[in-house]
Amino acid sequence: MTGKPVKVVYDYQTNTETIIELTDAEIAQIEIDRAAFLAEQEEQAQAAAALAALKDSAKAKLIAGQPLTAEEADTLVI
Amino acid sequence: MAFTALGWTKLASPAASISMNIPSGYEDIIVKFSLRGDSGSEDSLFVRINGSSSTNYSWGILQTDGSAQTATGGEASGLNTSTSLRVGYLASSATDANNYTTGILTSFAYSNSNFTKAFRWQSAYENNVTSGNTKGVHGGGYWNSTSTITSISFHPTNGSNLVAGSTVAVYGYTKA
Repeated sequence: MTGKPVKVVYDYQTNTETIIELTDAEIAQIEIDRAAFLAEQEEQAQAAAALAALKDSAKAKLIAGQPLTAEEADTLVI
Repeated sequence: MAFTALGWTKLASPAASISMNIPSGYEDIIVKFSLRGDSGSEDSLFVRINGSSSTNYSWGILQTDGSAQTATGGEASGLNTSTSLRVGYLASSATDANNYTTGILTSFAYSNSNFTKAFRWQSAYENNVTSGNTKGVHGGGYWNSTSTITSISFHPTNGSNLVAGSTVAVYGYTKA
């Protein structure tokens, strides 16, 4: 073993377990997966924050009797 | 109908992924999993079939998080745009100690060459990252291939390892 990450492979036909070091391609794929996951998390957080801001703005305008924008109204009307 | 236990295995030491080589001879395959990662932040759990990381997966999940219910789909949500199946969130170092993500994944008609391969899953874990809620995921998806499924692998998304003590159990379903 060279200290690289490993994967464990179970073969249920032979009931054997094998520990295999990841290839460079598999390690590169892990980095790709991680970047995609973090980007998705950031995108979802931004979308949630934008929706919350729109709802807050719509609520404030309704209380004040002011007209809503179409985007604000969309947060209230199904 | 009959369910046959094909095997149960437990990680003795941390690993980047667990892969199960699946025998032929059954209608469907059911995988029960109890997994935890060692990432320091919230992580998710995904599945690859036959080791493929091509963009030929599609999936959708309904997620519940405490009292809120939200739905989310595949990244760039569309047909065959994902490189894996997202099967849930993964308990990690950022969540309560000794807490595992548990779930069941069913692979339908895994050796039928007439169909692309369909899956259904449920998973849950206790999320203590922000509010101590329990996150549940109900999902389905498919791998756009007619190839026989010969292996199913679980991976953390955030580049972490699955910890020792993580387990998987595999069952084969056959008609009566």
